[in-house]
Amino acid sequence: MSDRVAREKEVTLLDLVDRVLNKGVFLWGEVTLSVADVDLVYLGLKVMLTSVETAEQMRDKHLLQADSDEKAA
Amino acid sequence: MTANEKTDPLVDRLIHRLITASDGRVTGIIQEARDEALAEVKSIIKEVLIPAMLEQALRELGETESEPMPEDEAPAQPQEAATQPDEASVEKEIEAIKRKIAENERVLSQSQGFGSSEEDAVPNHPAAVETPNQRMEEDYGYYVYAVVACDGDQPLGGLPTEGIDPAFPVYFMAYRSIQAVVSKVSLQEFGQEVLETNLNDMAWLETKVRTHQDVAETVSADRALVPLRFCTVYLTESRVQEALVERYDDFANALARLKGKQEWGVKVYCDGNSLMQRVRDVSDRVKELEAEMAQKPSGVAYFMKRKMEEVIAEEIERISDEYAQSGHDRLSHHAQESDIHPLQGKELTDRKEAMVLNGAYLVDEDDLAAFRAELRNLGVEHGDLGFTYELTGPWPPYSFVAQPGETWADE
Repeated sequence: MSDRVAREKEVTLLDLVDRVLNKGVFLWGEVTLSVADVDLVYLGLKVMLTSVETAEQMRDKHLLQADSDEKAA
Repeated sequence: MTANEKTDPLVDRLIHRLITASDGRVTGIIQEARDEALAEVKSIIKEVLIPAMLEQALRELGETESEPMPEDEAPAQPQEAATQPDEASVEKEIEAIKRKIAENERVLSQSQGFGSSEEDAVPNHPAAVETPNQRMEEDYGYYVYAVVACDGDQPLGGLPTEGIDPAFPVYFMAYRSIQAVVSKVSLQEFGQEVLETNLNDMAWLETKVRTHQDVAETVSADRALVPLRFCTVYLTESRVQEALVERYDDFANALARLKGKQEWGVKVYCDGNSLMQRVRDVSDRVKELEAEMAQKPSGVAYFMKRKMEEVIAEEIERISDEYAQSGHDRLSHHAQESDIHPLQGKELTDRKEAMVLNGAYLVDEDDLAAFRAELRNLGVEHGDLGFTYELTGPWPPYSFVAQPGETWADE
């Protein structure tokens, strides 16, 4: 089944979390994922993405700064 | 919204959870200390017991040998008298040690404010302390990925030799016509308490979630599969078996329903700017307002402009909803079942466009071509307005099996 292999797009962690953690049959094992656990994972994803964004912004700012310093010099 | 905004209730909850998590570690450390103390006390008791038992054994042997003698020989009496205090002193010593354990337990639990009656009972039953072998066995669990039908062959290329705990291979555990897809896991990594810590580790999470998905995908290549939620772990194989027995009908019915179908995800994004331009171009209300505005003095025009911006925002929302709904309806037409997931915010998707639809569709293999064609049409038709359609899949049917709180069975 070639269709199965041909993914439309690289699956993001967010898509995976949406399904693998948030959906699927829930059984009462001795270890299970709680709703609070899942919320925490979304929060973690959010914090991670925000910090990546912030880091990129800071890097860009830094580059711009370096750029203008260069021009000034 | 930034992560350091203290007003964000999610951040508040994170802080709360972090505190709780570190509390958990404190509990863990105390538990460890208690275990170590118990082990030490146990070894002391053992040291005392060994000579006492040896003595007892020797005495019994000696008594057996000398049995014919006591009847007519006096020394038996003093011997008996001599052993009696000995035994008593050993017993006394053991009692003293037991008291010490109890005292230690009490002090420990008092200082930390916990300690259940079960734990208090431990010192009275030193034999109940786990042997190293029991300990080893209890440190493993059985991770269940999914349930599949028995009729398929082994998957092409076989079952993964490395499960979610790479130390153990994936295998099937069968009951009647269904089988669980299982692998052994270390509870050092997948125990309930440590799990909460691991979930905060995004690198760990990503690896494990991808493995869970890869296993489900490998196994489902040529058969129906009911995916289980991430981190469903049983302590013994017989508990897995029990779950299969208990839910046999549910699993068998779900497998029959899902046979030959796959889940596809469609997300629709809306570029607000190009939609706004289109709204300005096509909306009669906006045109009316613009015409009216042109005839008013500047002060009034300012307020009218504000009013118009509001109207445009409303229109954008209305049009987004309308198109998202129509897209969902048209895709659902080619699906056996459909489900709408919560929209992912921009802070999660890391995109400039807003998500307006996050749909899941259970599509029969025979309908897949039509489904894809409809998706292409939608992309073209709605593309001008700034809508982008994005397809993911095929997925195991995560979205088409029951959720917690829902009655999956006649329970």
